[in-house]
Amino acid sequence: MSHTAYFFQQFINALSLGSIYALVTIGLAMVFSILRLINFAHGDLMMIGSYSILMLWNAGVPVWMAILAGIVLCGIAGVIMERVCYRPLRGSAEMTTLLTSFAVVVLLENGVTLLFGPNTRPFRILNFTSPTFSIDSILISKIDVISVVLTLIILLLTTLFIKKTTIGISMRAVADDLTASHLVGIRLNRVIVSAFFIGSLFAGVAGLLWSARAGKLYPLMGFIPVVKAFVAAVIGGFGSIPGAVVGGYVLGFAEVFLVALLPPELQGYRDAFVFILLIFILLVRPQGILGAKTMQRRI
Amino acid sequence: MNKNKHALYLMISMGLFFCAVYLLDAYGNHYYQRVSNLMMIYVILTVSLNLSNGIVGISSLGQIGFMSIGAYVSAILTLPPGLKEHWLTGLPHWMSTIQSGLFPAMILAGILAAAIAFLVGIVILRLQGVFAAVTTLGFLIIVKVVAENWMTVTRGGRGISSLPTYTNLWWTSAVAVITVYVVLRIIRSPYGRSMLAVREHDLAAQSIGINAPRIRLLAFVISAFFTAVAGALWANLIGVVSPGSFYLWLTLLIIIMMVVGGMGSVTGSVFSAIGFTILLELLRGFENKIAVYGISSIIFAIVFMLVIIFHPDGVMGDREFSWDWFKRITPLF
Amino acid sequence: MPKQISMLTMVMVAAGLLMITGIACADTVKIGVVENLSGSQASLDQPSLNGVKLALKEINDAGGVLGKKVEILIRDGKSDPATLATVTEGLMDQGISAVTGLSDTTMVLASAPAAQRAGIAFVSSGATSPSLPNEVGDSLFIEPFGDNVQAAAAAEYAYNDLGARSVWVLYDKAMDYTYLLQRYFCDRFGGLGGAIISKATYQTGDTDFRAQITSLKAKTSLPDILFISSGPDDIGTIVKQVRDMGIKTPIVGGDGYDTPLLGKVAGPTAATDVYFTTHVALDSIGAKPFVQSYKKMFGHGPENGFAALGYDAFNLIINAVKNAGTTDPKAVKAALAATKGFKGVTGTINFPKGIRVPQKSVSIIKVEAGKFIFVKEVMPSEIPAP
Repeated sequence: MSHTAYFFQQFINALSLGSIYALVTIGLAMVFSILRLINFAHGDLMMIGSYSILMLWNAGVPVWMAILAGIVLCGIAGVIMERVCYRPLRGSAEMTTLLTSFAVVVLLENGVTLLFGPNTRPFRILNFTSPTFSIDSILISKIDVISVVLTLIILLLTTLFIKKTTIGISMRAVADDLTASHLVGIRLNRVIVSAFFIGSLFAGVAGLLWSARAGKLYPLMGFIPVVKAFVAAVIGGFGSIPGAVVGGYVLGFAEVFLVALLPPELQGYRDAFVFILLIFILLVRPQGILGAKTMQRRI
Repeated sequence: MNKNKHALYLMISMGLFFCAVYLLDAYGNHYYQRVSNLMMIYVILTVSLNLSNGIVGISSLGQIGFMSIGAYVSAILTLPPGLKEHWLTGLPHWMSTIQSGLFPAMILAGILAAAIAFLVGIVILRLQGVFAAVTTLGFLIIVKVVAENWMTVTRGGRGISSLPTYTNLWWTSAVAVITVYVVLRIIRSPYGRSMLAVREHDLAAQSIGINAPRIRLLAFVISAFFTAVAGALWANLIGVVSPGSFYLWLTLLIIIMMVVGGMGSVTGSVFSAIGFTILLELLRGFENKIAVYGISSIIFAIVFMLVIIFHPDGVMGDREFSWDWFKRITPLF
Repeated sequence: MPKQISMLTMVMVAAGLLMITGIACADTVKIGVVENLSGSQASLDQPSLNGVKLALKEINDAGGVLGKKVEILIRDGKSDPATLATVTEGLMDQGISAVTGLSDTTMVLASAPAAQRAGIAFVSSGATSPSLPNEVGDSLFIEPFGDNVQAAAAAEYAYNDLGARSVWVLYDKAMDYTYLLQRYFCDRFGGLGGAIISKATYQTGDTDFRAQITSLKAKTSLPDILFISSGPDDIGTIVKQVRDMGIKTPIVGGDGYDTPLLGKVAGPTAATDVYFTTHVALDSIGAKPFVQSYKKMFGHGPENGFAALGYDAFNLIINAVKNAGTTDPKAVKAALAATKGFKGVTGTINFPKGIRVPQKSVSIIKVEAGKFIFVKEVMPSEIPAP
């Protein structure tokens, strides 16, 4: 394998990993921009989505139906979560809702462990990962292509949605100023529920890709992606959708190239370097790469 | 008159408390001793977390990182020299030949963590709200990653075991009482008033001449000190430290204890830490009875959510316990 | 109003809990079982508990031991050392004869000292660090072979039978087991004259290993084998990604591979030319009855090697109770230490005088198209010091 080929292979790896991070982050950012809620349970929505798909598929539902239904179920789960856990807390401090989302994580992870057992289950619904293209010893698998394309499509659709549709415009208004938009007659609950629904749909898609990539799922699978998405969101600029995508890719590239470039004895420090990078970015550009200045507290 | 009375009550209750400690330490069974030890450690952790998060309003999710540092420092200091030479080859020679007792280990753990908190705080405390939450969470993860990878000093993921179990109820309860006393004194000092001002309105506080960043840093460092001391006690209670021991579950547990007790209320934190420890033990008994494992965590999460929804400020808000409360119940007081 | 209701609910819950906490006493043999049934360790410890439950059912169906029924007291450590230490402490005055459970070294180190203080034997069902018993004391026994034994067996098999002269190592940095296994392997493989070309690491929970695998591909020549030291939940994904990246080199590992997940997650085309050491070949004749009864009781086969280990650890304790002729913990401990020729599913267990790690032979398994094929049973000729 030549140096160039090596670089490009790692580039593909990073692009593919970054796409999944971006997908998780978009959903997280969507909810955050509107409610100022960091929903740590977003990862558990991914888990719920993957479990639903697997259970439906095991029950004999055709693959594509199972996938669609699983993703929709994931959206519904998000709406229920909002109604039961977050709506009673609307208007509370950011930290309060953040902690509540932690409690939701405990609830869901232990609940699913009780229902389905703690064991890892194989997830081989679609054989996405076997390499299909190979250019000069660089391998590209279906899932790489699917991840990148899906991320870009979702980014495009989301952007169009919040720019052009009424509810999308309302979302932007609410994100800008919740009280004022309520005052001008925007139906807050409708906007928030749709944000949760859409964000959770994305979580379902991300869950599908995440599980397909790993070939497995387990009740605690949601935590690592959500922490990564959390980081990606901050890097990109919390609350901004294009920022989420940029953040996801920055994180994906940072992770892959840290492992590629660090000597073996330092590879283990990868996550530490990622967080140092994060702190550095925050200090230089507190609003993130694409974040708007409005993130600063209004006084 | 009233003041003297309160001092008397305080002395009586402290006397009773230490009598209970004496009885439990001398005659209690190991299980009750262990639960009480953990309870006292949780009191220390919750009260010191309250100082940084509740009273000054720093959104830190990383305090348990300082606990980890404290536990590791104490583990390295108190590990018998024979094992140290064998396991922790990265230590300087003079360090691997000494074995310290619990007290110096605790103090050093506290000081080192405070020093790190000072450095980290200078960087992190410039950020606010969710950003502070993310970066402090990052700090927690960095501490864990370092503990997992610094093989010659922390023994990596294997952790350091065979630690002498110095910690007993006297140590934990004494440190808990000292922590509560110190934090209460801080709150009632001019510094404490500044802290509250900083939490309530940063800019307004600065406009009347309070150096807000310095106040925040001070609270963060003191909090880290006591958190690390609790870590040292924990290490010498359990006898083994490993990177995964000081992570999200403990972070969540302590934060929940603080929030339910009331952010800003030191006595609230004390009652909440005690109450939750007992609640968790009772839930565990219940869990073993019905043999549905994991249900206790679920109930715990639901209790937290109920409190947050119906008492958003926690059970005690930012009020402190007062003897006058008893007046309402009985005319004796 | 909601305030009062929520307060009232909490008081009622607490009162209800208080009422049902009482201990039923009967004339039974009581054995403590501590496992992490929730949290990150649950996927290892739940099968282990299932193994215990199966053994319990068989023993009680056969009339129990010493003419008494056997009863287990299960405690959940929640994958948290402090909780684990507390629940183990709580078991000590419940009249138990011995304790078993746990699959991870760090967890055992948090839990077992309570048993050591009380003088009650603790048989760790799954932790394989050979130095473990000496770190705790004379009450701790481990039921599987030590990692040094299986790693040496893997190294000798790789060198002698696979003809490997160079190895690339990938291991999980966050686990004691994976770290020790690769260290002992490298010790023995290097001792035989093999070369370790380089090592790479990952962390438990990672799902993407392609960066590490690509860096292996960039080496001027591929090694003869890959030694991948991983726990049961990660190995399927790793094998799958190695093969997806077009590397066909044989993969060697330890008993973490002993799970149907390897074949199911990686798929039959990827799970080929993989070799690992383990306690028993679950499709061998000796293990058949165990696997069948497990299937009958739980509706599926053993999830991983810990199921058989939990089963054996429990039977080992009951065997000691039988030999001691009493339920007194001290006598049971002495009987355990004198165990000779105990035949379990995972091999024959002897505890030579003063050594509480059994000398068991190691089974080598080959994975071909996702199927486990028993190769041979070996005892390594040289074992690295713990």
